[in-house]
Amino acid sequence: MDAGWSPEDRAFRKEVRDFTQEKLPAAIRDKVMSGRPLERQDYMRWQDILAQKGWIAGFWPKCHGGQDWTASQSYIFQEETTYAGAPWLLPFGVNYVGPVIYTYGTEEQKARHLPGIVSNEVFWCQGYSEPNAGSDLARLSTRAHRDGDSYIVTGSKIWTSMAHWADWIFALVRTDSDAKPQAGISFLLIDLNSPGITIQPIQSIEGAHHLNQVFFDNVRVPVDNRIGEENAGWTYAKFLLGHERVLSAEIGKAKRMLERLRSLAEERNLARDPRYLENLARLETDVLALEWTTLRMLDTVMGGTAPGVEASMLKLRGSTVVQEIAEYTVDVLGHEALAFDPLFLEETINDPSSELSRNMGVVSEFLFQRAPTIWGGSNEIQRNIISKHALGLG
Amino acid sequence: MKLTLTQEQSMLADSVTRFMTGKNATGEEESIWREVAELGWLGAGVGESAGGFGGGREMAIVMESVGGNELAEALAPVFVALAILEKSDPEAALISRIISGDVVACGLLPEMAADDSLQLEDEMTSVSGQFHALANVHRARHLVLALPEATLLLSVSDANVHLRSYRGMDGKTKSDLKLDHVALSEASVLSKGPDAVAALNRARVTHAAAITAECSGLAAALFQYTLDYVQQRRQFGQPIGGFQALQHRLVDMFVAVEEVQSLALAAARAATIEDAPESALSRAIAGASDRALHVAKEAIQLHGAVGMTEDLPLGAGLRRLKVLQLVPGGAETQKRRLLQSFN
Ligand SMILES: Cc1cc2nc3c(=O)[nH]c(=O)nc-3n(C[C@H](O)[C@H](O)[C@H](O)COP(=O)(O)OP(=O)(O)OC[C@H]3O[C@@H](n4cnc5c(N)ncnc54)[C@H](O)[C@@H]3O)c2cc1C
Repeated sequence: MDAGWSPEDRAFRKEVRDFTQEKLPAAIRDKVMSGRPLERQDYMRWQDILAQKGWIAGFWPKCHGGQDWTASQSYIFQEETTYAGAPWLLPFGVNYVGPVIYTYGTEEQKARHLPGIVSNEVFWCQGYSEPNAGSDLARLSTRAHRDGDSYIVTGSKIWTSMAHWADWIFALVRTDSDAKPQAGISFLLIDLNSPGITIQPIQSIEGAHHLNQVFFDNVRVPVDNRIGEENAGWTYAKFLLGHERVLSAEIGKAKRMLERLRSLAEERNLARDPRYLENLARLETDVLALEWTTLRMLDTVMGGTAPGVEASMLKLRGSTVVQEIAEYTVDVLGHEALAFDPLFLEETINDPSSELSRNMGVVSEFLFQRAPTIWGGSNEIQRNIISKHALGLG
Repeated sequence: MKLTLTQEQSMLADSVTRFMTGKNATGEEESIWREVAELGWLGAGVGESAGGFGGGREMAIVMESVGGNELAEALAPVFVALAILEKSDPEAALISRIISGDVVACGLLPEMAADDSLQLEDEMTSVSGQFHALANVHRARHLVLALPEATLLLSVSDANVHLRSYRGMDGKTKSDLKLDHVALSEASVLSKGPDAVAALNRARVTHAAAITAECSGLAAALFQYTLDYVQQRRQFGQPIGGFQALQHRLVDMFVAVEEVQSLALAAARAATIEDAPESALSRAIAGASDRALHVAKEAIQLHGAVGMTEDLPLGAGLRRLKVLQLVPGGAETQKRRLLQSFN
């Protein structure tokens, strides 16, 4: 089934495919393929390779170090690289704070922060959620008050992915407690080496450490590190969330996981098992429906219409489909999935030949894939958005 | 018809639950095991003539009450062993040594063995077979094998019994077991013919009652956690339990827990009166596992990010239920057996 890609798109797809095949280190590819957790150096190594090619921030405007990719090129890039087993391109700098900075930042901010993202030298993390502000993000309470040309920040952020690896955090802070919740928020760029910041690890259910709580105790942040206007941070935050949601339907990943499912099933002589075949057919159908919904949406975006509720729909279905493939892959492993030890996984993480650690990767991924239906605006929140904005209910 | 608990049974449930509260810490497993034996609860699996105080229902009550706790996986195979031994000879000395906690014995069913690996050889003078991911076997001195042809009592220390133990998804030790032409003496064949079939039936109902009871206890605990949480967690200026979208999800969880309890009761009744078609036992295991898994996944989702952390026992619940689905003899095995029964 052909979506009518232009000759340029086809050529680009081939270029990305060839490049990934040639440059993606086998050890990283193997980890990704099996679902084992990656380390900071794995992400960085691949992103360095992309940075050298100029492909870290391909969708950015050329003047900021991007390639002016069209939406379809961004889609093709994501699909091809993830399908081939490349690590998730960490979105915190490239997809989140970068576009906020070049859209709303000052010339100094652009000059200071964009090059580090494009060259993959600066590791960012996202400081939105707080213990009492998750789905209801606008109720965040980390406070920032003015002291001369600084803000003094006190409070904490939680579920901050990879904060322990990061150099900088972009954070939403409350600068006006009297205004309506959305109206008193500012968007700050904070150097994680600032005095007064402590980062505490949180262990997740697959046994890995990627989540953190970040504490701010009277942390001094130059006012120059504020994006845009004081108390207008919600506007920039929402702009960013829009970018977050477009990315969530991971067609390349879903296809890659289906392929692994098929090969694991064949290795276990299930290729003719009726229960397996029925499940496989169902999951393949889900991926096809997701892919063509994504393509339809891409077409709309190319036609100049901004993504709206379609993005919520893709988040909803994308997260669910990948979650189901991940779980069914464990089911296909059967009793072989039962040997699972996060410590072992960490120790043998660089041994691609170990079937045991590959199986454990499948289990680890199953457990981790409970998260995407929760993060990035939970699926319940996406349904609220769709019912309100697409269906006009409530 | 009387399906509700007797007063004694309610008291048993209460005291096991009370004992288990706060015993979730890992590492103290051995001492809990000893305490449980001292309290006499291993005797829940067998009748008075065998030195116990129960039968299928009492055993299920103990399993359900520890269902939210990791001890369940260690208890189930012991209850199966006791059931097989009692059926073979209620006066066997081994029974009382198991009940007192002196020795551990694990009961095994043919459907727990790797495909077609289980064989009685040379006119029942030796047995071979392979088993994966068995619980509690690493502590066991004896294996009690219920086969349709014969009931076997094997010693784990036999040179032809090979064990390989590893950490399982539920954090507990699992063992792969290989019986490599293990010689059978007269003493190791506990019964043959129709008696062996009867022991196997007893083993199966006990296994089904144990697994479904654990699903039931665990699902109820995960549901209660979630119900408490949505009443206390506030977002958008109200408890999230006030959102109808979540109320309906909780109702579905509640109904699922109720149905798991029903399936567990059916299996426990079957274990008491030892009368149930195999397909009903398979359906009870598969149905209880599916529903409990649904509850575990919803529990995580409705907690939000905190549900993804080891700070709460939800991930542990999901992992344990996944084990009960995939472990040989568990829900997947039963679904396969159901399909085969139509052929
Ligand atoms: C693995 C992982 C990584 C993350 N990384 C980051 C990160 O790097 N930076 C960051 O800032 N945040 C991060 N998050 C946090 C994520 O954005 C939040 O988890 C999400 O916004 C939900 O908030 P919460 O967890 O507080 O759940 P809550 O908002 O408390 O929600 C609990 C439950 O209630 C439901 N609910 C809430 N409101 C409604 C409603 N109105 N109607 C119906 N249902 C409702 C939710 O859907 C959920 O099921 C991460 C989360 C996870 C799991």
